[in-house]
Order: sequence, then C-alpha cells, then structure tokens
Amino acid sequence: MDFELSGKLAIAAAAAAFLTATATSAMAQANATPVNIGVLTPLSPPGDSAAGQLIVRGAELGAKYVNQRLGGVWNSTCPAPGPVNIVKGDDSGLAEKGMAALRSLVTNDKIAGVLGTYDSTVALAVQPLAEQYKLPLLVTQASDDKISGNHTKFTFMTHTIARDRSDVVEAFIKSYGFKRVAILAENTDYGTSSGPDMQKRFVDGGMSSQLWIFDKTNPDLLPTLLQVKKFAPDVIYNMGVGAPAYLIVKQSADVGLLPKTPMIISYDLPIRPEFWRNLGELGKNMIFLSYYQPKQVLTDAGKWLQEEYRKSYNEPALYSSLAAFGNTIVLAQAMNAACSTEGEKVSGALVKGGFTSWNQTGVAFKQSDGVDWQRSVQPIMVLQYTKANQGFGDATILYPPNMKTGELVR
Amino acid sequence: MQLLLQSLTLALLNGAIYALMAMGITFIASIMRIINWSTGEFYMVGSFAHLALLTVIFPALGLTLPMAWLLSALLAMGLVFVLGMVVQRTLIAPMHRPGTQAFEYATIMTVALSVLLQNGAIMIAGPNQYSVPDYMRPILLEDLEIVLNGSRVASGLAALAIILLFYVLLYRTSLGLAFRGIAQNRLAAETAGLNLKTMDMLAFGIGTGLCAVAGALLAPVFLVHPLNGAAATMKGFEIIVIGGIGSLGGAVVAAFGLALVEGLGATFYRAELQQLYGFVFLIGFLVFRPQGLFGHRERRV
Amino acid sequence: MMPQSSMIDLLSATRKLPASWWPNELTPGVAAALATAFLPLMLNDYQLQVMWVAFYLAVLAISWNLVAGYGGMFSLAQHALATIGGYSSAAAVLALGLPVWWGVVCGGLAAALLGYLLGHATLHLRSLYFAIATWVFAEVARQLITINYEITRGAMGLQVPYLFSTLDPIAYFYLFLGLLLVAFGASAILLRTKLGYRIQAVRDDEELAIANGVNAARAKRTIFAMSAGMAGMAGAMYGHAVGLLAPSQADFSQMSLIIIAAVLGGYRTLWGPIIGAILIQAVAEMLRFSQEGRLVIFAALLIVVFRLYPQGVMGALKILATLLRRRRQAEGKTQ
Repeated sequence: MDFELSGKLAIAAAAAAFLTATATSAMAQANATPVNIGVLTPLSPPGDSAAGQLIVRGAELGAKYVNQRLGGVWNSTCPAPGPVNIVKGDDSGLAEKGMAALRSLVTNDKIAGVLGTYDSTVALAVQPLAEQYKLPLLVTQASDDKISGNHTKFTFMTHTIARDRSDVVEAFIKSYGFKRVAILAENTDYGTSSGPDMQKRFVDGGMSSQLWIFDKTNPDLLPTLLQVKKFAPDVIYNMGVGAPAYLIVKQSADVGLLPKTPMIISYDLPIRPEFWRNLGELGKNMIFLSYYQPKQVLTDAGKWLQEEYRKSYNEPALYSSLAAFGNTIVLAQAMNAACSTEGEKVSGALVKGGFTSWNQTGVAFKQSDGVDWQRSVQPIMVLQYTKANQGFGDATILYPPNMKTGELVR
Repeated sequence: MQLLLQSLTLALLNGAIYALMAMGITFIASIMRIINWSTGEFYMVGSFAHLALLTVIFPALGLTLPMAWLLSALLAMGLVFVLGMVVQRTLIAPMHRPGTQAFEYATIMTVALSVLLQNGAIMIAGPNQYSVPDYMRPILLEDLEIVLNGSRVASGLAALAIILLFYVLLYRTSLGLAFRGIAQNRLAAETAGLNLKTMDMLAFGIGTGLCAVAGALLAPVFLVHPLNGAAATMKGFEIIVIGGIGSLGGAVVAAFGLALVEGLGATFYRAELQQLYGFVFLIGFLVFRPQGLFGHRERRV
Repeated sequence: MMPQSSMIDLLSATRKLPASWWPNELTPGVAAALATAFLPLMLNDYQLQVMWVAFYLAVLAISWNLVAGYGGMFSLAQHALATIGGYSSAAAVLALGLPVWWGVVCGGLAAALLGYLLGHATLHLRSLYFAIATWVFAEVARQLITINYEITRGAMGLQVPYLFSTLDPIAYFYLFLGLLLVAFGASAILLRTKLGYRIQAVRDDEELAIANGVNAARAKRTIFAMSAGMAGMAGAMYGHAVGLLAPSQADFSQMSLIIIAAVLGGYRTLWGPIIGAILIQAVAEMLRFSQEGRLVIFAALLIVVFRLYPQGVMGALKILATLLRRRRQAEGKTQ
C-alpha cells in the first residue's frame, strides 16, 4: 500500500517537473524573437477550429514572405533589421478566452500588432483591450459591422461586412433576372449578420425572398430544405461555412432542389480540391462568391502565397488564409512606413498609407463615417463552374460586368 | 400531399439512422449505468477509420470489392470495439470501484476523453471536411416525384441489419441473456456468478463499436470531420430518455418517433426550431412517462 | 449506501446544531483570501485576467458541487444558469435602464427562480434521467438565445456595460475574489445549518431520510435554487466584466470545465472546487506554448490525474497526510 501511494506521488512530482521544464524552455525560446505579431483565432471547440487553422497558415506564410521578400519589418532606412514572427493565441471562439489570450500575447510575447479574429464576439471583446494597449488590431474574418461602427482608434476592419456582400449578391441576382431567392444561413455571427440584411434587401428590391436560419451543429437539414422546396425558389443562396455548406448542397439534391435550381455558395469553398471529391457531379454549375480570380488579379505577394501554400499543403489557399496573409504583410508594411513597432505610430501609418496585399485592390483604412471607419473594402466576384472537376482558373466570371468572361449556365 | 409524403419518407430513413446512432449510448447506459459523453467522439473516430480504409488503405492494397463500403464500415466497428474495450479497462473500470461515486466519476472520465479525442482529431485531421463516394445511385420514385439518396438508403438498410443482429445477440444468445440480467439488476447478476468486469468491458466495446459503425456508414451523408459526432451524442441522449434505458425496442421506436417529430415539425412549422421539437417531445416523456416508452422501473434488491 | 450509523449522525445533527455557526473551514478561507489579496503586487495584467476567470470558474464549481457533490443531484445546467443570469442582467440594464449592480442582483434572482422551476420539474427523476433533463434545459437555453438573434444578437454577441470604469483586470480580480469568498463562506455555513444536514442525509439515502421526517423534495429544490442563484449572479458579474455576452457560454464545453474543476480539486469538499478551478486555468494557460496541442495535452494530463487520484487534489493531500502520519508513527516506534 505504501509503495503504491508513494509511487503515485512520484509520478505526480515527475509530471510537475516536466511541465515546469517545458514551460521555462518555451519562455526562453520566446525571448529570442525580435518582432512578434499575434494571431488571435479559434483553434479549439467551441470555436471554429477549421477556420482558425486556415487563418494561422496564412499568417505564418505572411511572416515568411515578409522575412524573405521584404527583409523583415524594417526597411533599409531604419536602424535595426529584424524578422517578424507569428505567435498564436487560441481564443476557443469565446470572448473571455480571447481577452486572456490577447493579454498573454501582449504581456508575454510583446506583440506589436494582432490579427486573426474570426468570431465577432471575440473581436468586440478585445477591441477595448487593443485601445488600452495601443495595439493595432486587424480584424481578419469577423463580420459584424458594429466592430468598425464603434469607431475605435486601433481597430482596422479588413473583412467584408454584410452590406458589401448584399450589394454584390443583389446586383448579380437582379442582373440575371432571378425573382425568388431562398437564403439558408447558419446561426453564427456570419449568418445572422448577413442573412437578414440580404433578405431585407431582396424584398425591398421587389423580389420575393425567404430566410432560413439553421443550427450549425445540426447535420440534418432536410426538413428545412423541404420548406425551401415548397417556397419554389429560382435561386438558393447557401450561407453555410465548412461542413454545413457541403451538407446544404448534398441534401438539396436529396429533396430534388438540385440540379434544377441554381445555387450560390457564399464564399470560395469550391476552389478546394475536396470540393469535387465530396460533391462530384453535384458541384457542376455551382455559382460562388470569390474575392479573386487567379489568372488576372493577384499581386506578386499573392502569387508567391499561392505557390508556397500549394507547396506546403498541396491545395490552393482559401479566403481565410489569403486574408490573414494580407493582414500580416499590411501590418509589416505599416511598421516599415512608420519606421517603428510602436502601436500609435503603426496605426497612424495604417490610417495614412495605401498598402499592397494579395490582390490588386490594395488596402487603405480611411476614417469615414458609420461602418466605414478604418475599413478596407474588398472586391467581390461571382464565379461559376461549368463542368465537373473543373479547375478554379477555368471558372467563368459572371460578375462584375467589366470582368465578365462568360454567360450563366443553368 | 407530395410534401407530406416526402417528409415522411425522409423521416423514416432518418429514423433508422438515429436508431443506430443511439444504440451504443443506450446500451452502455443500461449495462454500466453511466452516460458515455464520448459517444460522438467514437462516432467521429469510426467515420475517420472508414475514410482511411476506403480511400487510402483499400486502394493501396489494390482491393476492389463490390460492397467495399460495408466491409470497411464493419472493420471500423471492429477497430473501435477493441479501442473501446481498452479504454474501458484502463480508464473507466478503475473508476467503477465500490465506495466511490461510480456514476459521476465514470461519466466525468468520458467527458475528459471526449475533450482529448476531439482536440486530437482537430490537430491530426486539419481543417478540411471529407466525404466518401456514394454507396448507391439515387433512387427515383417517379410516380411520387421523390428522389432518395442512395447512401441514405444503403446506410439505413445496413443500420437495420446491424440492429437486427444486435437484437439476435441480445435476445437469442446466452451472452445476451447475461447482458439483460445485468441491465435489470447488477447486484443480482453478480450474485448469480456473472463476471461484471468482463461484461462491462464487452458492453463498452460493443456500445462504442455501434457508435463507430454509425459514423462510418453515415460518412457520405453527414461528412467526415472532427466535430461530426455532436449530433450522435444529442440524438443518443434524447433517445435514451424517450425509449427508456435498457430497452432495444424502445430505442428503435423512440428513434423513429424523434425523426418524425423533428422532420414533420420542421417541415410544416418553423424550421429553425428543428432540434427544439425533439426536446419538447422529450420533456413530454419526462413529465408523463419518466421511465420511457418500454422502460421499467429498476428493481432494487 | 453509507453505513446506518453515519446517517443517524447526520439526522440527529439536524435537531442539535453545532454551538457556533462559524465553520472551521472559514478561518483558513478568510486567511487565504487575505493572502491572495496581496497577489496583484506580483502579477501582470495577463495573469490577473487568468486569475479572475479562475475565481469565476471556482464560484460556478462551488455552486455545482453544492447540488451535485453535497446534494447528489448531478445537474448539467450550471453553465446555462450562469448564462441566463448574464442575459437577465443585460435585459435589466439595457432594456429597463437599471444600474449595473441592480442588474447583477436581477441576474441572480432570475437564475434562482428558473432554477427553482427547473428543480420542481425534474428533481423527482432518477440520476441518469435527471442529468439528461438538465442537459436538455441548457441546450434549449443556448438554442433559444441563438435563434432569437433579433433580441439577443445571437452569436454576434451582446455588448453590455462594464461594472467598473476601468478595464484594468485588478478591479475584476478583487471583485471575483470577494465573490469567491462569499460563495465559499455561504456554502460552508449552509452545510452547517439544518438544511445542509438534511440535504446530505437525502443524498445518502433518500428513503431513510424521508422516513426520518425530512421533506426531501423541499430540501432538494431549495438547494438547487440557491445554487442556481449563485451561478446566475456570478454569470451576471462575468458578463459585465467581459463586456460581452454570447450563447457560446452555454455550450456544453463550459459545463465540462465546471465538472472537471470540481472533481479534479476534490468532489464533495469545500476547498476542492477552488483548487481545481485555479489548477485547470493555470495549466491550460501554461500550455499555451504548445499551441495546437494545448487541449490535447490538457485532456491527457486530466485523464492521468483522474486515473491516479479519483478523489482529486484533496484526496491526494489526504493520502500525503496519511503517509506522513504513518512515517512519524514508524519513527516513534523505532525510537
């Protein structure tokens, strides 16, 4: 009995020693890095870890780009050249975890800027902290327009808000003469901020439109889709992210909506290789929103990213990765322009300057009214596949009209 | 009318699927008197094993079989059966000691296990969602204008077959008799000479194996990704209460009932309340029939 | 089942209460709180933030330990009751324009009331059914908050006013330290009242307790409502400390944390939930360096610790004490 008891205590002591040792070695490593940039993003449940992982990939490649191509953060006129380093902070999709993670990034890792927030709740909760620490916060993928609407000095919104997305989808749908639009939106901040806005827009624009909000954890969307079928839409707008986006496609076919009714996926999911593996023939004629078209509009940085991403992960980079990559290099450029990593100066530079990102639009943060405060606007395109297993580069551009490469296939 | 018919057909198919999802969790609950919180994670592990077997291992071995998906799903079940027994023996059985709060502690162990498996999967599997090729072509019922997803039909049928086999095991074999004895009264079963330790281990293995085969069969329907088990846990809990612990028939009837209530409710009323219809159904049972459909009150010694 | 004699001890204690209402545990409790009050001298913002969240978790774990550990009601709704407290307080502050502190009181009352009703509806169920019924309650609360996004803003998050005009975590550190001391003291005192002894008697053998004249249903309901009120008040303060409410607070993963904190520290002990909550917060944060593997290592550590010490840290300390006593006795014999 005594043996067993002391054995247990010995194991506990060994475990404690291991923890202390690894923790101290990790801290020692952290001290060697000159300019840290934080990525605050969900990497564990209840957060959307899939999105968080893509954001981290983009940011890490961004740092690599800055170090290899821009020679670190400082430009030649500045005194001390040094590389940038990405430090991850897991927010689990929870406001309070996000606050702790950000405070950890600031106090332990001495970050000079932070990007990556995915959940609007986290972005809104850490916004006051960024003010307190005078830390530039680049909002990578949180979509609530309150974030920029709060008009805080150190927050820079780079994600598309509901209004921009509605503008494009409305114009597209009108130009192709659709009259009945079914919107399926997941119950996350993405779905509940954009879904109702879009429906209102369509109804105000004289179309008939109905909105269904579904629970992201519920894989059985058939009853919802039967209601959609009863509504008899002439186009379906699919606002699922990740698994639900696929489930809506598959189950729409189960109730007989596909392939007859055209469907729009609300982001660039279809450019992923597993899109065709998961959906096969069902992906044919899929319409989707994208923030770029690979043949035409990538900058050198963007091309570099796509190449490196393909090397590392054997697939094209998705919007989440592109956005985080863009944020990282924009932050580095702002530090260059300010010749400093001080928050005040960097955000001053961010407000002042135009920056290169992965697409040709460039990034600028003007202090405009309302929700346009320090918000950079991204162009949105509407693309369509026309045959099964088609490559992203061969997809037809349907919108905007000045870039159009083909007609809608029904 | 066509809508009602289609809704009913789909609900029936879902019923078979829910039944298979819930079988594992109710079986474990009836034998071991614990809630297995890692049900959904074993479902997830099963679906990943199936994905690996079907899309990587079989092609690598040059195996091309007509019903490879069924073989692969059964192999996934076997793998998780063994995994489940190991987990039970090393982690859960020691918590089941007399004098401790067995129910609480064993349940808590499964909670910790689910955190481990879920985050492990996120780390290993990465951010993508996967699917396997459909098991069957869609079936078109032309007169009724109804399309049936081939994978749903195939996995529904496979689910019914597995449930039937499980029924035979439980009601036609001596092992099954032993299980039923334990479900009714653990103390009496032990007095009668049954080795509860072994039986518990077997029960946990079988229960998790059933969850895994559900995950494997449903891979083309509900996809393969680290968080795909949430629905299995949820449906499992609901069906435990509605069907009553320890009743196979109860679980099956409850599964079909739940699928009907959710399906019809969400089709003909507000769709976003889908899961709440199931909860209301369940609360009805808790209030009016707390022992479930076919459950009977536990006998005390 | 526990031996007959201790049951009679418990029941006779309900008739003859101890001479002093001041529980023995409360003296070291107050001392520890006073000592902790000097900690901010050594901690930075980040550590203070982690500490106050640990105190918040500790309050929830104490409230859960009260119903589950001492009361034998394995509830899975504590996180939801806290969330309801948060949203109720937000409603009082944002819709009715009450001051924030009144909002906190409203949050506690709303959760207590809902807890009482929930207890009324479910407490007659057997353990497994009761656990699932409370889980359903939590799930319904989470889904209703999410679905009614027009009112609650759903997953976009509801911004609420802060309790203090500063964001400095030191203020919240003292706030939650105070709340923790109150929760600890209240449960220590409660367990020495008639109600406290009754509920433990009911937990150990409900039929015997009833036969001895205890109104089991009432005792359970009262304890359940009190614990819900405690969770609701903590949840309300939490909302005004983070400045934001979200339905993800009612996600089951948050309930797992509460359970893990209480059991890791020591189920059915007064100190256990506090030790457990601080420990898991500290370990989870210490593991941040391992980034993706953080929760995998965390869960693996948890499983190993549970496996070795099912009685938690308090159990391990008891083992240590026994070991030391035996060694001393052995030394005494050899001399």
